[in-house]
Amino acid sequence: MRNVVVTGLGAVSPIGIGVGAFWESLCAGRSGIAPITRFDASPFRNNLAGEVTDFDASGLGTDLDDISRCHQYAFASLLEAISDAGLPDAGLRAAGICAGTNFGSLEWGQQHLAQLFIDEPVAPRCWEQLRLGSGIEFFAGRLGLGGPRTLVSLSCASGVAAIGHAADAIRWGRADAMLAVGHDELSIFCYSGLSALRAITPDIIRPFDINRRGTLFAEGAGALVLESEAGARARGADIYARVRGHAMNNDAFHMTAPDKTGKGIVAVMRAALDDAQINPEQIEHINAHGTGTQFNDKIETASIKAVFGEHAARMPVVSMKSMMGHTMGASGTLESIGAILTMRNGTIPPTINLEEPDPECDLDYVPAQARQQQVKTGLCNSYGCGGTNAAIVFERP
Amino acid sequence: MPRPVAIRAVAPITPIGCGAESFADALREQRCGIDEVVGFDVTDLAVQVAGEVQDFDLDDYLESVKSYVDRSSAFALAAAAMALGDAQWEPTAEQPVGLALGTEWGCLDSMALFAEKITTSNPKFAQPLLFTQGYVNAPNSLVSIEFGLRGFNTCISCGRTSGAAAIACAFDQVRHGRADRLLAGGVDVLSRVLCSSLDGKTFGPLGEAAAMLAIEPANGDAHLLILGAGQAAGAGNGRRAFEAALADAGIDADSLDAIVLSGDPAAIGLLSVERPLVENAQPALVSWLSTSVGDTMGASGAVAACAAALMLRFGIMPDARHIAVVSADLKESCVVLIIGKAD
Repeated sequence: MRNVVVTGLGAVSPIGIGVGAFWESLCAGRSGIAPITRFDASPFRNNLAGEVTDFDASGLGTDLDDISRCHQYAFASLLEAISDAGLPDAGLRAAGICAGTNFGSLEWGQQHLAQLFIDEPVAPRCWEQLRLGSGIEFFAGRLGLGGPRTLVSLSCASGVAAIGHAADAIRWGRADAMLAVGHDELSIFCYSGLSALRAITPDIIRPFDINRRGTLFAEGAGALVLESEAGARARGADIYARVRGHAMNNDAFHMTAPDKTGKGIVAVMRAALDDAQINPEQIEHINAHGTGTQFNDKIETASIKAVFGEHAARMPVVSMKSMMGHTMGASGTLESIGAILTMRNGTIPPTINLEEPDPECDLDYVPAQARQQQVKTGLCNSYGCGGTNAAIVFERP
Repeated sequence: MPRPVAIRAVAPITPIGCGAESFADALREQRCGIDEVVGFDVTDLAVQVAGEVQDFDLDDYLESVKSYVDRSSAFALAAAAMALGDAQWEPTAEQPVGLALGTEWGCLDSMALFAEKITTSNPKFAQPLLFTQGYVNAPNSLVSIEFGLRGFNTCISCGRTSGAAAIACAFDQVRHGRADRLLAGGVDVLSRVLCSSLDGKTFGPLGEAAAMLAIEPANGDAHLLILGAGQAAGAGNGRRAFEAALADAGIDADSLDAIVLSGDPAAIGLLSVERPLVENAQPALVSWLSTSVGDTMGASGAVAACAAALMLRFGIMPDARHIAVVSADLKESCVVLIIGKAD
């Protein structure tokens, strides 16, 4: 079994395009939430979301015109991560990819599905991009990847699951290098559905605040280059973090309602710690799922206490969604990038909009302002519709 | 230390038979399940035949009646019920069962119904039930909820290789000790939406299926094993995946008695042209599965894995000990599984 390390990062997010801008916004506590421009959001209870703005794919090739917006985000983030890693051509040709997405290319996909009922012809690419696997086919073809090619869709736990699957491929000798990317785009399809589930707040997103009323959705992509530690060290790569372990499971409770006992998320955090072969006390930082819904934040807090005991009160627990919104399938990779940079830079980004603490959410959420603090080991949580749970442990090398 | 992985149960829902015995009988007779589509209107489509699972009724498999589930989820529920029953597994906290399921199209019909509602009426009144039933991982979640599967859980979508990739993933999880009991397989179903969108664009008739294996660490009474897996993309993907799987299984190509081809018919054709996939190997080439059940898309690799396991279990291919399952996608991706009899 081989150690797995992270050697490259890439980000396209509502709070910045490129890892530098993304990290700067996280540390500044800058919000990427603004009125929706992509579709008419007037029928819904809130017209706010985290859109990616100022993204320009024109320099990446004309073939990007035929791939969806979220696939463009993903491809741009992959290019940044590969460049950041300095992965040589031979390494790239042997590398595999694991993508994670919740909805995929539903802006175009919805157009294709709608034209079946209203008889308005749409471009063939709308159908082609609706198929989830279309993204990894494009990425692998364009980048010349010859290794294992997989996409995982576990609703909003997809991003962390994608990193986990990619790490497994290296750990168990199926590849020497893997690209992991999470991506999703805002569309009226997903927004109307998520609105119908009453997941969207009529207010702003306020994770762990007593007045929180729901989440706000967003879009983007986050990419990581993973390599075997031996291979990365042999080529002198700059190592951001070691992937110590991960886990994914299901609540087996309800399609939309959370299990208030938190059994599933307690189990997934414990399984990730077991996989990492570390004690709970060794975790120094948690990047929470932290959606800002009444149930999630309370259940997640109680679950962290159940797993970590008294140590829970000593750990900073951050919701990066407070700044960029819930980027769905991208959230796990973008937030993992945030957690990795937290360990690398010794700066813990804040949870913004946390103004009035909830007595049932009584951990250290690093409210309002970033904090200078060295942390060596961090845990990222992601949960999704249908009871999907994923957790991953990173360690500064 | 990697553990040997046993196949405890085989659960196919296919156009030529549902359940291990029924499917095995159909394989023995090389029965064809391609026929005129009766499940939905195809009169305006160029292709009017497919491999449908006719007379399927979820109530035959579950103890409770469901108000609405996508056909894809219904197939997954039925296959999981059979697999759990045949494996005699009762999921508990001490012995959890997990699930790795592959699908190319997910719950397309529910997605389309939801799209229709928000297109033709106020999206503010979108139906949450249809929305959640349209999630790609809805079959995973519904199966987990129905049977209390709280173990490892993943949903894989990588074209025609989805089902085989899910089995390969589950194989690794069990082999390396992260999970002890997993259901693994694939599902994809036919619908008016799918067939009209793909009309005239496929290389053979489509089909629908769900197929699951129940796998666990091998003990003394194991009869069937997954010995290895390989996956590759890009140029020469078939050969590289094949070689990786053989190396993983620790056997030579000479030890193979058969290769079961599955996936995109055009990709199967390309692989056949590439033959011998491994020099000097002369195993029997089973390429008739897709003409028998149709191109079952993301389920195809799992259907082929079930077929290979049953060929060994029921002696359909006498004296055979090792069968390779090749799952190929036209987009230059291939997954290979090696299934064998225990010594």
